[in-house]
Amino acid sequence: MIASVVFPPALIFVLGALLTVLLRGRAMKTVALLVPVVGFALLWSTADGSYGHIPFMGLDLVLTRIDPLARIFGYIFQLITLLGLVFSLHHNQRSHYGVALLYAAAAQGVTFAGDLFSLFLFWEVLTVAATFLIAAAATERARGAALRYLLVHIAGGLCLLTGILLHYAASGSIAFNAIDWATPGTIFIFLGFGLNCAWPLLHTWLVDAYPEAPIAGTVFLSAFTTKSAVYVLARGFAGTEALIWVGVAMATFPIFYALLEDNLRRVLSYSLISQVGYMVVGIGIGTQMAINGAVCHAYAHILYKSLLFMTIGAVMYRTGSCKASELGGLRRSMPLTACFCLVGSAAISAVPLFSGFVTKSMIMDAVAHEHLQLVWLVLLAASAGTFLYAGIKIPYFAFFGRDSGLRPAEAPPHMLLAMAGAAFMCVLLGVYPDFLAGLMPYSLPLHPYTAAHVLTKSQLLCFAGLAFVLLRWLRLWPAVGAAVYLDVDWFYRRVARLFYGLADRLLNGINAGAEELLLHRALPCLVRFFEAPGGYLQIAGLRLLARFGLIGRELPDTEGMVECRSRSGTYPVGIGVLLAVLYLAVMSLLFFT
Amino acid sequence: MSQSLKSSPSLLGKILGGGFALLLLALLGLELLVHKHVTFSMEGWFGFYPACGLLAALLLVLVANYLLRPLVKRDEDYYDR
Repeated sequence: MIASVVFPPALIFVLGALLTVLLRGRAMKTVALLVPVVGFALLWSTADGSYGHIPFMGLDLVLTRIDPLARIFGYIFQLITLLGLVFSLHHNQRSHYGVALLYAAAAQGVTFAGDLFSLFLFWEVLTVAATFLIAAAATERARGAALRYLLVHIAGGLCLLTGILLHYAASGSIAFNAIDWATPGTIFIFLGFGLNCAWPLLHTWLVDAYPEAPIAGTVFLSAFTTKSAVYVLARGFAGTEALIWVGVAMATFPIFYALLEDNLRRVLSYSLISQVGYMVVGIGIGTQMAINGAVCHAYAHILYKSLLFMTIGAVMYRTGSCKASELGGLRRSMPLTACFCLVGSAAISAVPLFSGFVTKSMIMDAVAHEHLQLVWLVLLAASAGTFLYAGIKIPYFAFFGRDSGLRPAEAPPHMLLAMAGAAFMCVLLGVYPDFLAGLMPYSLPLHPYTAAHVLTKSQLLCFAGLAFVLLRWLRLWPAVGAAVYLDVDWFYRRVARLFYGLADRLLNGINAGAEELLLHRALPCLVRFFEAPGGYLQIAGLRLLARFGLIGRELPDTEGMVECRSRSGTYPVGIGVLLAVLYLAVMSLLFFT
Repeated sequence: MSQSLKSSPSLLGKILGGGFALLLLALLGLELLVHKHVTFSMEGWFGFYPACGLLAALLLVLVANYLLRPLVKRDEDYYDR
């Protein structure tokens, strides 16, 4: 307990990140792998409670608040950090381990933050670390995607900050608990969380960036940003009814894109949104049963989604491609990776004895318990869709189906080890649901394996499989091939370019006009004028008098005299006295009236 | 001869196809034996889950392929132009 006062879990990861940057080679990798293990030991040995209160400008910052909800997210983030680091052992760059651990530190920080300010701090670190993870692919597309990711998330972060400040101004507290809708900042906090959660219309940063990141980076990306958003929504907005419908939309619309997409990493990215949709529905319902379901589904999802990203990553590592149209038949030379992919597919599709079956049914039961028939029906249909694109499409087009003729070597041992770890957990959660029951935020009975439930779920999946067979046979299955499928990011990638062009012409036009007018026209005039300002003013006055006929023939002589005087600086004393008197008169008017 | 062997489905394919058909029939048959806990009345209809799986899958793919695809498909270099 004492240790936790000094070392919040996030700090262990930050120190680890700093240490790995100083080391190299085997020592660096060993330290990196030890960090999540030490973090786990620390969390495991620490009882629930709030530790490490820091007074800061009159605020009470709480870096470590441990309760069952935070604990389960803390554990899974640590586990996936370990698996992700094992998967990425082929990397020799120090930056990779440093950034990955910093990203994990931010996820730990968000999870254990007891106040909104430290939450915001770690929230922004998440964004920055993720940006570097994406850009590390060092391709033109990845750099573009990373930049767009950063811009979108900075906007979301500012929205969150606005909300936090308004919330603090209204309530006088920055404690992070269930957030009351009565304060005006709540909607901003809600949207800020929602952007990281990839809500519909706010989701395209995810499908834009994740497929462009390096293969090991994607494993971390798929785990931290969206699931930490699920965590903060579960803590702050459990029972907010709007989330049910947001979740339903999230669960369904990505399926259409996932069915069309050729890039399997993009299929997985759309699938990620769809699966997070189930969690958001659970949070929206907000009952203990539903929150348990959402949290456990997040736990299982992090594992099977990382596993699927790892298998497709391994394929990409060996073949250089992750496109359905360029792959096929890889089971012949990558049999172990193919097996792990099938485990991940079975888990995401909720096949009995795999993790998704247990956790998805918790959410479905919570929906049924509230008698939300339409929601239940749509999620059921989405489950069938999930089986099509993730259960069948991904393994079929990568490892089975048409033989692409590619015969790459099996994935390297460290990748196989990481995949085996994730696959083991997918099966463990499926065959031994009590493991999850011990971690759930609310202790409720968990009975996923009733005969009726196993039968009906098997029927649903097998007949969705029949649909796949029929569609392939009738040649109605979407043809695979390289293409871009427009999504909402079209607005900022194409319309924004139009806006940029217009702004360029308008603002730069004003700029150019102003330059011509001020620099090339007005400035020379002013320069000439200030050569002898008094003289020019007098000559202008004289010309004015001449125009009205007050002076006549003597004008050229007078002008000559004025010019001569002003250049030599010799004025009669009378003019000096007159100016002094005028000056004093103006001063006395200004100060003494 | 070899041509006809190649174009006809392999023995393995036939076995897999037959096995899959048997599995589907068995799953339908088992529904008569297993008592379902019904929350919504439609769950109690015979063949509700199989029909839901089949129809939802068909509908999702057809909508994706024939409604969404023509609307949103562009060349691969669309954003690079």
